[in-house]
Amino acid sequence: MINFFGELKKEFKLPYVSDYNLINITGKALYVEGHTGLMTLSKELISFRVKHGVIVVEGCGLSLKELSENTLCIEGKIKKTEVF
Amino acid sequence: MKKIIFEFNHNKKYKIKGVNLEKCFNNLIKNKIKLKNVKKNDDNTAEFYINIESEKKLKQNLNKFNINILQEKDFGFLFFIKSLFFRVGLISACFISLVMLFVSQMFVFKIEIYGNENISKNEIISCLNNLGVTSFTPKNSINLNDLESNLLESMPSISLVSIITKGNSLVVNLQEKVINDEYQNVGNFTPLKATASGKVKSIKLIQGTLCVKVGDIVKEGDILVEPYIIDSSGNKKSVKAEAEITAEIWCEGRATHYDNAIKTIKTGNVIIKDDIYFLGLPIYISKVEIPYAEYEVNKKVTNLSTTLIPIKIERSFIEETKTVEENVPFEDVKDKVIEEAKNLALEKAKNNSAIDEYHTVTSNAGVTQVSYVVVIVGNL
Repeated sequence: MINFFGELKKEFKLPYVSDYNLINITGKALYVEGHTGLMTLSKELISFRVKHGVIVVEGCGLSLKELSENTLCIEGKIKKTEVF
Repeated sequence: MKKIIFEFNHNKKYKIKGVNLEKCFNNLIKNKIKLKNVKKNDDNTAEFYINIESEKKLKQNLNKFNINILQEKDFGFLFFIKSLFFRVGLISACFISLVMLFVSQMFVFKIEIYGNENISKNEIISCLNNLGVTSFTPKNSINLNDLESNLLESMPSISLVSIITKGNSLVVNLQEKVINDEYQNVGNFTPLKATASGKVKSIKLIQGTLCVKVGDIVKEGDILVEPYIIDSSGNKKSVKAEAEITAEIWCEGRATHYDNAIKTIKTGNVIIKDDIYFLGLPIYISKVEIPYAEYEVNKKVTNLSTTLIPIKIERSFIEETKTVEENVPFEDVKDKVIEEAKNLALEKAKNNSAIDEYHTVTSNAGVTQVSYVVVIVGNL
């Protein structure tokens, strides 16, 4: 089985162990690995903590398709993703 | 959303209300509770789905954060199955259906009959009824072997029978007896007789005892083959008389001429008389007087109305006749009389090619008879 993030890190020569992994799929879904807690949840904005920072996702009709201890999946029209 | 509803696992939807819901969610996921389809509304309410296994932990955590549960709803195939066990009406309906199915399987509702050609189904069914097998007869009360033997005894025209129960049907497969003439009609056979007069030309005996030989002259109705054989032990055994016998057949036509003959001829005078009948009763009778000494009457009935009023008109044609005495010698009409006899003979020959033909004339006291014979070859 191919580890998608592992393959990418190998390609870009990035360290295998990282703070978080995030992938935006066609602007309609955002998958995050390694979050450390939810900060804000609304239909227009979802923000969550990662190691050494905060990620803010803005859009329309946002919801959390899945929320577990380490991963989350945002569904909706994603307009902007910012890392602080 | 649809995916959650139609999932196999038993999921539960919660609608909660409270402050600092994000902190509550973080606490839930720290306690290994996986949340699905999390939506937060503007009025401090949120909706989410969890697996039913995490329900206890969830409620404990929600209590810690003073969060109110507004709605709880179950989904999933497993929940549907579990809920069936609590639907008394459904369970009792299933149970009653099963009981009825089980009870219905114990009875015969239909009798199916196969293999009958000459015996009617009704005849067989009435025989089975007499033997105690009807619709609604319990299956366990039917001994199939006994029923088979009883049916064979009751109906001698059946040679083989097999009876089985299939579902609610009693299937009867039977074979009828084949009637063998040689054994069934002993003593009832008739001899083979000549259908015409003639001289036997060839014989091909199939069965029976031959009474004629080639060259014999036979008359119509003479016995050709007797319906029996005598076996090597000298016993007489009845058989169907069968043979192919060809012969020179004499087809005879006869015509008679009278030198003095009395004939009735029509003079051409006619009187028409109409009578009217209603329901067979005369309502008008014509009172025409018939002035003729000799006459013939021909009647023609016409229905005046066939539908409503049964009125009939009977029209009588009264034709005057006259009796005259004719004296015609045979010699004057000889050819005509012979031709008449020949036509009658050819009619009997039925398009068979004639191998010979001749005629004889006999006269006695003014009566002359012509016999014309056409000889053909055919089967007797």
